[in-house]
Amino acid sequence: MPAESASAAPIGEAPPASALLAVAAVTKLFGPLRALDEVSLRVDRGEVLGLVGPNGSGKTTVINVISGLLAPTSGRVLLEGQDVSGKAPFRLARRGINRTFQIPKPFPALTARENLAVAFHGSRLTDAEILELVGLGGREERLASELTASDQKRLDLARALVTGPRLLLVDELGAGLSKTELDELAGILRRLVAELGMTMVVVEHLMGFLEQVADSVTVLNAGAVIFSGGLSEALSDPAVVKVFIGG
Amino acid sequence: MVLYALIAGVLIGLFYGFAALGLSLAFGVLRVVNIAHGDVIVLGSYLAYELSTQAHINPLFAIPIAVPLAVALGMAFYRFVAPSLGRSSDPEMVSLILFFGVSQVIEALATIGFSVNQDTLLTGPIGNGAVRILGQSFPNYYPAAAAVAVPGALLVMFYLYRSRLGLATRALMSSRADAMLSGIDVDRTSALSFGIALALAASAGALSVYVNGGVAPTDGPGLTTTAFAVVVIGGLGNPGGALVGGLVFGLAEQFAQSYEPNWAGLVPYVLLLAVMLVKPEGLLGRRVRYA
Amino acid sequence: MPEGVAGASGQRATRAQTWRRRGADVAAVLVPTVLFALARTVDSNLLLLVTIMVYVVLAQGVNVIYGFTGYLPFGYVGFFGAGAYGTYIAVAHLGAGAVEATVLGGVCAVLVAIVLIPLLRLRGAYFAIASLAAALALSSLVSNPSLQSVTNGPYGADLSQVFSSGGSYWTAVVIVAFAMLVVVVLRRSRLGLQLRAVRADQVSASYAGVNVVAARTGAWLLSALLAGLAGGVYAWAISTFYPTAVFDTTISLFAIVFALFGGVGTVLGPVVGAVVLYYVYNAIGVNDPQYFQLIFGVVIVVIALFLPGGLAAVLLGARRRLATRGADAG
Repeated sequence: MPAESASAAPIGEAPPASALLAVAAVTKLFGPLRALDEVSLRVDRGEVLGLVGPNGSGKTTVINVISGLLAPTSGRVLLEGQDVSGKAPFRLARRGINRTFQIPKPFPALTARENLAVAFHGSRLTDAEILELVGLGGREERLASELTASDQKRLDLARALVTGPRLLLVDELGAGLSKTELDELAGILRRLVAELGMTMVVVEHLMGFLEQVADSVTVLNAGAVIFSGGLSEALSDPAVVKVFIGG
Repeated sequence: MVLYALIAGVLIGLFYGFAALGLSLAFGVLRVVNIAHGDVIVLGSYLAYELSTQAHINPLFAIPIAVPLAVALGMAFYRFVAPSLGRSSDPEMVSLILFFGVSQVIEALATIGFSVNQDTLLTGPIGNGAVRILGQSFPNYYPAAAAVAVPGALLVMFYLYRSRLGLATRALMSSRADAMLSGIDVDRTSALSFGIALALAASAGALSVYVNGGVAPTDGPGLTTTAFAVVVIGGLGNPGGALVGGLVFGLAEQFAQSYEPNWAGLVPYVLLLAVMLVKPEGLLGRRVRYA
Repeated sequence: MPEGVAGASGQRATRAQTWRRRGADVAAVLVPTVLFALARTVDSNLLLLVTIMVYVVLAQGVNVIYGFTGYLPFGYVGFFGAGAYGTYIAVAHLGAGAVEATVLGGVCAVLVAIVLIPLLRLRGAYFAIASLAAALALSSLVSNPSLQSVTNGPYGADLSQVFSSGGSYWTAVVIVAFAMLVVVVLRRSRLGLQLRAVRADQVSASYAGVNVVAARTGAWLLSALLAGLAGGVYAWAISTFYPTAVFDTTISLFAIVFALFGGVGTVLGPVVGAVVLYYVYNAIGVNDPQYFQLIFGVVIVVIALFLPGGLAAVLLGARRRLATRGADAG
């Protein structure tokens, strides 16, 4: 089903039905700009897919399309084989797709606890357990506006987790964080996969972070997939090297 | 009847476009709708009225008197409110409420100064005779309104597209942050543009005293709504669009008055709602970011 | 009362705090209701009291739509007029009793609000002015001579066959209680929390699984219901009226200014704003409306430039300063 576009590398032999998420030949135009050009990818249950590429290559657009913020111009997004393209974010949140933001926007006038209380609850964990899990234990009653940048990222992650996502899209979690904070968040993501069986797509610039969490990577350049496979193969693939060193 | 409505629509439409130009300019620069726009038009009308009835000079002389006054007042007002708006967390809403208050103040002052009743000018801008165009007879303020509106609008276009300050203004309208980084004195340019916007409104007032059949202190909100409809039809924040919007508006109004006079009053509102809901960027607008 | 205080000072809500909060909620509904019920023993001008109650309800309606969603409805009077005319039509054409007719007035306003749901796609100034255009269109529709058989067109509505100064007064008291209840419940409810989230950030709210459109529509319809009931009971109280009286944009202006003056997003702010300012208006405004309008305009400018939170924010700020000073001393 996921139509293999000419530009995409092979994406495995398993039948598509076992994929939790399949993105099939998605194209997204912004006016004349071709932000995504027949992008296809698939993520199996429990897999963590790293999405990398230079600035402007379309990584965040992929996340935006999968999470319903943008509707694809053509192509489809399939969740467990069902077409969910262009559905409103709140519907997808209730069906098990959620995301974090590169620049998190929690509700500033609401406390951390209220930020979660407002959300649709689809997780079997309680709000308190989720706050503990992301490392916000003890700061439940702080207003979101009073949290540090790193804690706002944790709160953003908690907000996504409350809805009980099976597929979590993580957009540049590491940007602007220190090494220690980064390692802590990587640890949290690994726990989500190991303990909750969560599936993820992780957009990240920092290779060190991806090495800690990703099972495989897809490399985008100028809106098209130029590589899919393991992280170490990616680093030795001439096309990828050319984009990152030459670009 | 078709020919009459067509010519009247074009003449009055040009005037509507001119009357709305200031609203569009103020929006482009401040990113806010000047709710008091119509009240400034009312003040211009009163100036024209007083000149004609008290000083016995042609009401159109209100324009050269009003322009420098309005520019100065507009610049001072901008300097006064800009710091507060800059600090606000929701400048759009706050300035909407602010201009709402200003509109109330102007309306109250106009009532105190000129009483609540409608005042009508009995002498036309160029005598009292009717004017014949293509065999149709029009009150002479129709062509007079168009004759002021067209050069007025051309002057604004010349300023925006042919002068250095106009270039700075257009840069500011497309991106405030980039304009600032390019070394444009954003505050001075904004203040001047806001002053010009008010001057345009006041100038339109000298003619709206005829087009509206008179002037009353409470006319402001209605005029703001009309100007807003015109600007939205053409595309908010796009001064050229205001003229196109004015033409569409004038024609729709004149045709409705000719064929369905009972329902003509609904035309401005329905037109405004229809354009906003169907094509909010205006008939010839590029999509503008708002809110 | 306002959320900032409860959120910032509260650790985990204890049982005592929960009860205190519930007590405050009950008091917020009961105190204004009882005061208005007793007001007739102090002031025998029942029409004035009904008018004040009408503005309390309208200010709360603005509170619901602007305070909770940030949508500023310049055309709020459209719902008020729809309520007044709905009530008239119910009495004149359906033979309804006055109380039922008032309720139908509320329903009529909700129907208008349903038709106008597409306006919620607009934002900021676009929404504000579009709502005004819709109200003006409705006014022009109602007063159109072609609709004389339904609305009596520009010739005005007559409800004198059901006139009852006591009946309309008590109905207004009940509507005030209802309006207070709506705001208190909304503030404590899930919908209220969702609306605050939507107001803060629409995208984040959507990813929290909040149906942004539905939540906003809920507030819109509630707000219309309040204005419609207010319009209905006002029509009943004044008995005869012209379209220009119940579609007067000054009514929107008053409702918005009362709400802003008292403080939107709070429960009691709009009530205090409406009562204080309407009494001021009644004292100086009826004879010299232009001077009142001048004061009004200046108040709006001052609120916009210096006091975005209204009276409530000023009082709370003072209280907070006192509290911190007390804490420093102790």
